[in-house]
Amino acid sequence: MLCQVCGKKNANVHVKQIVNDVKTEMMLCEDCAQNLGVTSAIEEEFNSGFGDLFGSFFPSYVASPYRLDYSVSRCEKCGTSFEDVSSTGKLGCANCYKTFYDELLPYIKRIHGNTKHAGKVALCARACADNCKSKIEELQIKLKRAVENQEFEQAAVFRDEIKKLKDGGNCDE
Amino acid sequence: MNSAVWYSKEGQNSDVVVSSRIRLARNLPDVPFPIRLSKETAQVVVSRIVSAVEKTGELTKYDFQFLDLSKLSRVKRLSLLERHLISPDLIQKSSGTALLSSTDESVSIMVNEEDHLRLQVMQAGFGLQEIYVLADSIDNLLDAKLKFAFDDSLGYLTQCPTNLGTGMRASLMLHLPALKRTGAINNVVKNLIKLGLTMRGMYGEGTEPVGDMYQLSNQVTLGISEKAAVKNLEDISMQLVNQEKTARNELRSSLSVQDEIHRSFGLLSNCRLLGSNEFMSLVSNVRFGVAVNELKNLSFADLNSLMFKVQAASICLEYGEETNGKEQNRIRADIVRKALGGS
Repeated sequence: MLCQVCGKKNANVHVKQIVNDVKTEMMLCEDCAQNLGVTSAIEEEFNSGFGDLFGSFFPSYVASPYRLDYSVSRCEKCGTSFEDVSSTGKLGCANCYKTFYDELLPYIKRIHGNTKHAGKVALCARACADNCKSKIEELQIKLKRAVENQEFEQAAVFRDEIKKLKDGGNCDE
Repeated sequence: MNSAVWYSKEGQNSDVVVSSRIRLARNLPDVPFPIRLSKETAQVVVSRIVSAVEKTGELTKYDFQFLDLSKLSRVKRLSLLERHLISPDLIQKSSGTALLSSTDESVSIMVNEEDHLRLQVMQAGFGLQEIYVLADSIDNLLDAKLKFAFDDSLGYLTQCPTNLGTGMRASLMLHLPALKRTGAINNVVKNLIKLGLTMRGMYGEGTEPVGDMYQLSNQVTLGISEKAAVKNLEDISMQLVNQEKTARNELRSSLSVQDEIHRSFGLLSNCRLLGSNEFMSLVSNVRFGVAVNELKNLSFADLNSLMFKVQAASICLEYGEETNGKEQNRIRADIVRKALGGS
């Protein structure tokens, strides 16, 4: 049997609708059924309203997810605002975590009861940490030598660099 | 369908634990998360991940099969969902998404679902620690090529903050007919939340338990290491396994329970039409019967395979995508009768 909407493809979705006790039946193809928003019982079961589970951790905003409002701060990499994040419960890119770190922290704490990662460290971060460690050691030697030679201005530069690296500065800089 | 698929095997504590699963969520650092991906960039993400897999010599042994999900029919996608290879989300949204799966379907990579990459390892029976070791080693190989998004204090960066940190979801599929019958299951579910765990239906988030099957998984991913989370889940699930076994021992002497087991076996080995919900509740009783030795000559592996084989989309895939509901019920009844040695 052909689809009763497009009349082109084979109908393989049987739709029964009961409105005010009047029953109507239709045979549709998969595409038309999807366009008309028909979902099967199995899919309905999967979509039973868990989507907003995370959104509920945030205060409710009425802003539409992608409205462009330049008065709010946005992630420079993907353009997501914090309102976008709170309405969808999702971030736009890895950089959003840097952009909205302070705003996100209380919610992250509420979800996980914690804000500090305690698990596996990614390879690049491991390499970076090793790199930082050896740079700090190198700078400490230079600092010691500068102090011994009474080159205090130079020593101050090394001290600041060490502090920056220890505070989690980027070792590639 | 491959006869050597992971679920056709039997593992530790298979009488209660149907399967173990580890899933790791990972993202590329320089591309927007899937929610913000354009069609073109989504394709770039697919190509980068596929190329990383292909160029990693250590991964060739898995013989990953590539599937462009947008090119698959809805029935094919539903059958992947039934085999836990894709999530319910990918039934609605398939554009720019892909699946790589090993021949036995135990290792798979979902591309552009909620995160750019979701690595999954599954095994029959109880065994989270072993599969975590495997998932961890594959993750390292992929990380070397793809350099996943990571932050020193927040861990692996994921689209949804609920997965931040380890990005790991470890879960066990448990068959708990006795705890369900005694009503103890309701208290168990309440207490699990306090322990940072969650219990759901068979297909994960938002699904109701069918056939007394429950998915137990860790909820918290930040502030706890992978190993500690896996151990915590294993320890608590072993307590549940023992509680279930104790409850089974108490119930097995009850005549009404024995009647229910044999009656279910009788129905399954003689029916001519069988709906999927009816099948799940009857097969749960049969599985229970095998566990308490009321029914012999049947293995948990046989029953697991059967449960996968007679799901709606899997039947349509085998017998034609246009197989309607009644026809599916007839085919399901035939397959089940044959498997149980009925007439």
